[in-house]
Formats: sequence, C-alpha cells, structure tokens
Amino acid sequence: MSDVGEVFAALSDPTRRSVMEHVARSGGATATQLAAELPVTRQAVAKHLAVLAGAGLVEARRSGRERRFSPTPAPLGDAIGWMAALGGAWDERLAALAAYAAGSPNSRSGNR
Amino acid sequence: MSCVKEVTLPIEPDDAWEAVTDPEALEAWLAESVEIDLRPGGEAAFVLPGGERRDGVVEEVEPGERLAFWWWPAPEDGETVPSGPGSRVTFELAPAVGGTRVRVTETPAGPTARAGSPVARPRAIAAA
Repeated sequence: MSDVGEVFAALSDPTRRSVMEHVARSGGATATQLAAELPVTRQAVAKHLAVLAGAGLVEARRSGRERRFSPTPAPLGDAIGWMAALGGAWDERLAALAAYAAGSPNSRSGNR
Repeated sequence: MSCVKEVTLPIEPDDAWEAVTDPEALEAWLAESVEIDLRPGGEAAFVLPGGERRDGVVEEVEPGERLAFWWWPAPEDGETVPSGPGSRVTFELAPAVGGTRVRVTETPAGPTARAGSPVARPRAIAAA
C-alpha cells in the first residue's frame, strides 16, 4: 500500500495538480511538453514532476534526451480509498453525535 | 481533497458547541478518550474506537462557531515521526431550523502536517 500521506501532500499544491492532470490526460509527456501547456517554467515543472514521482503518482522513462513521465494510478486509487473510509468514519461519528444530542436534556426532539 | 459532512442537531448552538468541544461530550461520539486544551496551540490527545492513538494541536477557537485542530496518528513507541498522514479538522456551527447545523471538514495533509501547521508559530512567539 502506497503512502497516502505523500499522495495528499503531492496533490495539495494546485500547480502540481495541474501537472498531474496534464500527465494523466496526455498518457506520457516530457517536462518540456508540459511546460509548453502550463503557465510555469520548465524548471518548475521538473520540480513538480519530482514530487509526483516521489509519491508514486508518475513514473519516468528515458525518451531521447528527455525523460517521459506517465501516470501510475495505483497510489491515487489508494488515496481515494482512504478518503472514502474517512467519509464512512465521519458518518458514524456524526450519527453518534446526533444520538447524543437527541438524548440530551435540552434536546428539542421527542423525549419529553 | 477534503471530506465534508453535515448534521443538524436538535439542540441550541450553545449546547451544540459544548457537544463538540467538551471532552466528556466528545467521548460520547468522537473517541473513547479525549484530552484537549481548547486554545490556539493547545495540545490534544485521542484514543479512537479500536485503540488507535492520535495526537493533535488546536489551531483556532471561535467560541460558539468554529473549532479547528490538526490530528495525526501518534508516533509508535520510540519513534518521533507520525505513522500516517495528519489532517486538519474543523467543526463549524450555525443556527438552523430545528436546532444547530454542524459541518465537519477533514482535509488530509502530508506526513509533515504537524510541522507545516500554522500553530507552530504561536509557540515560537511565546518562547521568544
């Protein structure tokens, strides 16, 4: 299981999310190609790609003089699964909170 | 990437505030054990159902309206780094038909959530 913390950290930056999105849509791109499509320098794109690669969200392969980055979906799937579990946990907690509130002496609901 | 959930409680906002900030109340719905120092920079500790221990720190307290805190899995014995991602949690209260609406937002951060959280600064200022 990938480190979901690294995935969230990697995707917490909006520019980096754009880079990720472009890599995913293109199926494979170099830093130069990505920089041509985004309002950031090639150097900035390369830094973002390094962070994304560190989180396991993209992988690089040699393609001529530059490396070509392609998406690796499994860590994102793990992160999405983690978020879904988080939603389930809060559903349970808020149900318990509602029950606690309904049972409290100052509650407006039925029990008077 | 945030998780947002809402519930309307059949109680007045003052009672709802107590329900989401008083440790005894929190132990009725959020965790099995809660310690929380309810001021910016205040420390918190939780034991969740199932035994998971979490540490935390309070970021923001707007009495009656909003509580924001960060929490993360407590480091394993002997470790200094948390064993999982931390997140920022907010409880926001608003009057609603039928009582009080509570909105919970949990936003996962990265493994360095604690180091990156804004509350690191008040401590540094107090220590200066």
